[in-house]
Amino acid sequence: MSVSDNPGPFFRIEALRQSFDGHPVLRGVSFDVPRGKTTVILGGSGAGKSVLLKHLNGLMRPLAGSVQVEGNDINDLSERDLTPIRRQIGVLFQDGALFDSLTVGENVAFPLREAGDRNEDGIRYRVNEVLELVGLKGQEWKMPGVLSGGMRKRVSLARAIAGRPACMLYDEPTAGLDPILSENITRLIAEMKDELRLTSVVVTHHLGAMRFLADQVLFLKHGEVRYCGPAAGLDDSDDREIREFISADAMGRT
Amino acid sequence: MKRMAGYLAASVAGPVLGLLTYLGQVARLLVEVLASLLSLRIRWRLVLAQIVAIGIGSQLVVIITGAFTGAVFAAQAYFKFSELGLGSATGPVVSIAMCRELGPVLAALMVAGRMGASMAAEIGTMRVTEQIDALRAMGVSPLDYLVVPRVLAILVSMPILVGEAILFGMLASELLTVQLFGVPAAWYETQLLAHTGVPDILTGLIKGTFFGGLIVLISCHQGLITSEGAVGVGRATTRAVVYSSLAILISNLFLSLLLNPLLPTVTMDF
Repeated sequence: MSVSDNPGPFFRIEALRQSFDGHPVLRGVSFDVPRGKTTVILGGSGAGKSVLLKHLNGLMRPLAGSVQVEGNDINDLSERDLTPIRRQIGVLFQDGALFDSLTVGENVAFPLREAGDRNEDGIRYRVNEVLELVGLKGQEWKMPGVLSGGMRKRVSLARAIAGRPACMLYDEPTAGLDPILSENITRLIAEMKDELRLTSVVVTHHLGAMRFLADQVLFLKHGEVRYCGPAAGLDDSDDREIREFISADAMGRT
Repeated sequence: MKRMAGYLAASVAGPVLGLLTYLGQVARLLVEVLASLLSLRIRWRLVLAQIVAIGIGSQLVVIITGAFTGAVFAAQAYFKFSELGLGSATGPVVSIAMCRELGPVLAALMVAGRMGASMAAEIGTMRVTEQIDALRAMGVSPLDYLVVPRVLAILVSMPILVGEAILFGMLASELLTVQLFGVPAAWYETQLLAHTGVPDILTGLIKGTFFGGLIVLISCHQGLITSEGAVGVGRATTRAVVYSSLAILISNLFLSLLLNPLLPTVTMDF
């Protein structure tokens, strides 16, 4: 079933469990990611946010539970069978994960070439197009090693959207950036969603980014879902952990 | 007594289990590489780049190692043989030692130190900086992209490097024996050619290729299992070189025992 034909959620996560060295990291996480909307996964450090994100495209396999992408359970798929699904899902990794041995242009062109595109003129055009979209036009000959943290994130974002994915996963997109760069990246994510009509999942612990981006919020604590619903509802939650998180963030901003 | 036996059993069982697990992981990597090779998903551009890095990049170090090993071995052999009036045996002894043992082993140790470390560090860094996850997220198999090109490149490069180590070892040996010790060149060369055969050279090339396979599998495996950031990368690099070197030295004995009956050396008669 193609993206447009499927009326259900883009991702359906059911009773997901994961543990490392006997230490539980995800404890029966269940939620849906609606198509074309932005879901923000919120929580403190060590809550299991990034681990949960890596289950969505099969980078990690759960101990129990299921991950459905477009209605297809991906748990039992081989790496090879996951390829077409993964190519629908762009990922912005926490530190960019750019390939150090390739230039900016080669990094952005990488997913296009790997998907079998042999039209070099078309690839060049697309690389320029997405680099312009992230405000890095003309930087294609630079090596990742000479880029600032913010530029690396933007190149990584350009690489992730180059293959025109139906969905984007963002792992801590504003971590380690100054407030101005954080705001730029957050705005860029919002623009991507609006212009490209992407389904987005954003992992963050910044409430400001969450309020700007979220159509739906999932609050994780110790691998458990404490809240799943609209962003506005989070402030009305009675959960002590959520209230502490919100008040700590407010203190951090004052 | 019972407690002590239990403690001893546990202290032996742990490392043995660890070794078996490790060998199982490397064997699994080998099977996956073979499966990838058979499916012909080969990235020739990356293979070429790795041949340049491994083959061309290792030329100088392997040539210097081969030349000086051949020269010093010739000097020691000549000192002893000349006491027995067998100075002319220096050439054949050096050539057989270089072809069958020193050439492949020392070239492999040099490649393990140079390229094994580099492979483990590069792949390990990619692992801890999520570049390998990024490959997988884009539907690219890290095995096809990172390991298979290195395997093919080392299988092409090692026989050439071993051949060079042997050649330069023999040339350096001749230079020293003829120019410094005064053994007639014609006599030296006649003896050398009479006692060095194709089986000797073939043994060296087979061993070198096998050692190359060990280096690439061990080093790539260490890179792929790297964790814990920069410390982990350092640990993976050290392990790649140490494990590769040990594997070369240990397997050399078994290869010698296996290959000598299959590819026997020419009988010496002076």
